[in-house]
Amino acid sequence: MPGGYTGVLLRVDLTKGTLTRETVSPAVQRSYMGGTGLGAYILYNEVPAGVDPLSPGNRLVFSTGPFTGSGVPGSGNYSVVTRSPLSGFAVSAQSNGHFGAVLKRAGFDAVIFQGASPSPVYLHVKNGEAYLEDAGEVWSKDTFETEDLLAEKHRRKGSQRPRVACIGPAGENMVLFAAVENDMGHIAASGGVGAVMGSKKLKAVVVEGNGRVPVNPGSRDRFKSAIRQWVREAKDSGMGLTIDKLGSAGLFTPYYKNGWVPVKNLTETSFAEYEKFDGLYIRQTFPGKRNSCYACPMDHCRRMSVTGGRYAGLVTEEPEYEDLAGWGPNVGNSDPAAAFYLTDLTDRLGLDLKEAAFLVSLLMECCEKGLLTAGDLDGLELCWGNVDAVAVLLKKIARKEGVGEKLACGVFRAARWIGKEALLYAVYVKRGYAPHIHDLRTRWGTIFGQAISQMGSIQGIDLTSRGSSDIGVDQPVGFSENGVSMAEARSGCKRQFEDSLGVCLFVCRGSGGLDTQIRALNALTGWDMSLEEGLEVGERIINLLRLFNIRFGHCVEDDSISPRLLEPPKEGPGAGKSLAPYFSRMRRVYYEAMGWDPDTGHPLPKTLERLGLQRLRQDVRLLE
Amino acid sequence: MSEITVHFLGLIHFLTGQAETKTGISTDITLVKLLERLAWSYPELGHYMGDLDCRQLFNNKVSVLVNGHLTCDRGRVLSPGDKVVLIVPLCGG
Repeated sequence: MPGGYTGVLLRVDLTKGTLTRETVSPAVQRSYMGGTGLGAYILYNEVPAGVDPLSPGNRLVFSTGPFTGSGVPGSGNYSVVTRSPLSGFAVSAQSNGHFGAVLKRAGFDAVIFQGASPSPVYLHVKNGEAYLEDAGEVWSKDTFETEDLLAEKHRRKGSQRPRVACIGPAGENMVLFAAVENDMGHIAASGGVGAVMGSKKLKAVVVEGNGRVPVNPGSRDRFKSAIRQWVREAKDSGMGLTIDKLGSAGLFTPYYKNGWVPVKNLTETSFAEYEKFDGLYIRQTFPGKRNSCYACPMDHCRRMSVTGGRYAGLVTEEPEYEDLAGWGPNVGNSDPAAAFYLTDLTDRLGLDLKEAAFLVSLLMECCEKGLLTAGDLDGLELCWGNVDAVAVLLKKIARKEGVGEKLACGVFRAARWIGKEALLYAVYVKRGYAPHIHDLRTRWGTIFGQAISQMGSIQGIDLTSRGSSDIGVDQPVGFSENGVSMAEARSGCKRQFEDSLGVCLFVCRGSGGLDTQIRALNALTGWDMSLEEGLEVGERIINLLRLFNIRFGHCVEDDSISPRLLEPPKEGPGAGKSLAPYFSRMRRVYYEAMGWDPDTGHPLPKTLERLGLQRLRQDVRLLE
Repeated sequence: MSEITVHFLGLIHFLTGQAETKTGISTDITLVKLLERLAWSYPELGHYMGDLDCRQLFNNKVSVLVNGHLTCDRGRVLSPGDKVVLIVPLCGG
């Protein structure tokens, strides 16, 4: 068994109430790593065509990577992988904090949930043992309450606080963009993973573990040295130092000046109060205490307090840039404390913030343009900046009360319900889910990476304005149609490899890039992996996810973005720029670069053979 | 003497302690010369940027926009009146 793995998977059949241990072969570990890759492998092999995402037949996989819990920086990471009820395709949502590390240290590389419990339960994992327990006492509680109640219930004097991943009311009610929350504000957000958890009547997973992640005996010193180098490089890069000193909110002003901040559902580009949402202002104005994730060397995550004004007394996790953008300029709100409040509420309800924010901003635009009235929204006056109305609406959505029932299906379906021009205003990608919270019209790398994504979030790394020498992209690709497509093909493989290692992406942008990660991986596992093999792992994962999605009807037209995202901004740095004239050609160039049929988007036989996926060729042939 | 205006955003603002500066020039200068001057004037920024000849400078340390356009050319000639913006290299995802 290579270092970095326990070699044990826990399978939980919630219908039968049985728990079994399984092993995973070293070949699968090396081919798929863990995280997204291992989850995709399980999903592909166990979820056949026709399985509804919210049915007992769907799988919900909590998977760690080889680095998870190993002491590598930012290695509290885990992935939640399932068939998404929001998109109908595969989704992999990552979260950080401590939960993933403790799950691994409790003796399991992954937990596979199948079936559905007849009544609410939670899984308790403790140092190699696991039990299903009644969740009646926490059912209907919000995520933070659930965490506190279960952590205190299982905490023993002298032992560390148990770590909890759970759903809130949104997940219980199967809101299609419900999330999984852990460690008081870390969220596996995308694609409705919380709804799948709710459909299985699984409220939470509680983990306690103080084991050690095994390190290859012959390379312990090399592993320690690799960790030191990784930490140094992570904190030395521009992105890393920004996160360390200012949080991701430290990116607000640079993003704004580049035209990347969404304003009023992308109807505007100007936001006068941008400096109040920047990390410089926030860290000077709102006192906070460091609250780092497992093994994270950065002062990124903090518990912060609001000491004055309407939200005085609020103590919450310092919001990320996207939280601030989503509940700030995107909904016409100029008070950062109000954005903190809405972020805290979104997390407590267990909603994916990006879907919630672009849904609310769509409704506000529709109200402004007369497509909706307060009468359609249970009397709520959803005008720009009306934070109180947003809060009431979010609670209605999470509980599927009144109009919340109609809105619980996300941006795309809400736009169809509204009708008229609403679909032209909605911000979504593929078959209908919200992208990350930027004005993506001026981020071609990101928007393209969302449009062609196989896993429900950004698949690659936006290299529009910086290069990545480790993968042969020495200079930023800018607004070049070929450059963006080719960079996505290369960076997608890098990103999916990283997402399978079990580390936070914020520590993966140091100067050493993949070389540093692979050096540490080889020392941990005892392998002799090359950079090219690492990229091939990422490529294999993308292809496997692609085949899974094709199984559920994915076609070329699903690699797409909404009309709003194709409109050129009228002003600002991105004025006049639009992907519309180039998108079809870019998609074709990308398909060719990936070794896919440029007309159908299906992986070619020779590509599958090169990646060792030849046994899956039959699946493609059947579809054709 | 004429001037170049340099805007510092995000982390660069944090390191220099100010949002912008104006630097006087008597003739055209190259981008790397401007960065050398800034490194000398703002030691924390200089320490952060490190070796200005490093191949990774524009990928890991600093992105430079001249009059709104990104440049990775150290030899780019700057003229009086140019507006330069320094930010950390941003990447999505």
